[in-house]
Amino acid sequence: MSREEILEVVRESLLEILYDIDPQRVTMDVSMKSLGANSLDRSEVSLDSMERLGLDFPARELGGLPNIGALVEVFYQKMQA
Amino acid sequence: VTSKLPVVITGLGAFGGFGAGVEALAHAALQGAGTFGLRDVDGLQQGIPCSASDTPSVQDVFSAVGTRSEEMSRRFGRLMASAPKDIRAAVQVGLEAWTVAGLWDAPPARTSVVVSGSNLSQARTAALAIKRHARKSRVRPRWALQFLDTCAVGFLSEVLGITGEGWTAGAASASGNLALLQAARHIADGYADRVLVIGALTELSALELEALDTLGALVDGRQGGDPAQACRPFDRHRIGFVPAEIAAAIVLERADVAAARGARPLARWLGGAMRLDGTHLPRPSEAGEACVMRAALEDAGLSAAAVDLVSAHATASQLGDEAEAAAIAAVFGAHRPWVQAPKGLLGHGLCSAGVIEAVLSVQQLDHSVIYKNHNLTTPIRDDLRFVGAISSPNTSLRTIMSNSFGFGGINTAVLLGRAGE
Repeated sequence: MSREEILEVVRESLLEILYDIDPQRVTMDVSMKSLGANSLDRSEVSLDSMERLGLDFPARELGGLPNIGALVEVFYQKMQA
Repeated sequence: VTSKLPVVITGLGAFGGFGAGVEALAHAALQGAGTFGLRDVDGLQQGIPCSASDTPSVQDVFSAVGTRSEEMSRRFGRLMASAPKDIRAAVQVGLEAWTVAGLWDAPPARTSVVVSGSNLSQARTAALAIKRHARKSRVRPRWALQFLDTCAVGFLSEVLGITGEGWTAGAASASGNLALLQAARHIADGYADRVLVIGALTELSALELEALDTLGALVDGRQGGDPAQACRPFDRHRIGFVPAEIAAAIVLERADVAAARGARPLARWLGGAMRLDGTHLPRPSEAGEACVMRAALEDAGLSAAAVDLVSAHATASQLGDEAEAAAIAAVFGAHRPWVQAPKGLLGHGLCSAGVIEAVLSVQQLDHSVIYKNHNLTTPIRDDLRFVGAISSPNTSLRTIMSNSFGFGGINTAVLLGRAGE
């Protein structure tokens, strides 16, 4: 799965929670926080995406990521492993 | 009693199988439209009669607030999108009661909120445990907030801007009455000008249903038939309690504060009491129930003869209904007030029962009507004056006693009076 495809999965998860934002704003270089997601929302998006991608690892490994691209990169690397 | 500050009721809200809003509730009470269905639980009797309700949409939650609904949807839409059914229902009825009471400009620090009930997330806990056990899902951090019953208190505080005190009141099936009683005392003691009391929607999982079924308390649906006729309080052919997913809200307010802001009182709070039986068992006690009814009368400074109608706890359980009928006969003797069993209409709201039944009582006082008894065709005893099968106007209705009893020997009774007396 490509990074762009993973981004699409994250976008879908994010829009379920931030249902009222423009999907075009969900890009690699923005942070979920800047889109209005609080820490609970961010964790939920990460875990939803993880499950959609068939991944399972402790959520603490996803702390402190600067933007959506960094999250996508973690998922991408886990999927290569 | 006379030294206490008088308290009135200025707002009501309701949500359940009957629909959303107190008008839908009144319509159901008058028409007796069945709101019951059947629930299948793996490993138990098939088709358990119950009154389920749908999860309100985010738009539904805010629909009660009229022109403000769009603004509130925008401000709190995301908040509600992540909230489960019981919390959405709590906010919906809270908003309705708030709007009825006209409290949008009320001082937030002089307002408190109490949510009746405990273990409000049983159904969600069971569902999450199953998913986690199957390793199908990681538990979300939101659960760390939502497993706490006080989560609903926080939601109501956030949406309505309430910054006084807030807590949950747990007393099993008497939780609703306990919440009303604590709220009235809180106001009478001067800690707040008003309290929003929320009767929390109780969603049972298969765990509670199986235990209640094996205990023999849950409705025995094996004979089939119309689920709307399964709940038969005070009837010789009663077959156990029928669970109902209901939320309700009541605003209690200091009478002078309500009058000063021009609010219309819908009814008066007269008093109430709570007593324990010295048991942890589900063992209804005629003596304990009679004792709490007398204590409530004493708190209100009323004689038994002042009560026009008893809104009974009457769940349609074998022993519970028998004990309560005997207790009512003992307390009221030859006076014989009307006896009504609202669970025939509604089913048993469990944590919310006391609040939704108080809402029905307030509506009857406010509209001078006595709602009919549902499914009571062969009464348990002939020395009580049971309300019949037709709702009727009653302009002399002034005082209602509303009972709620809970597992573990918990007895409560509250008294409500017509406004303007």
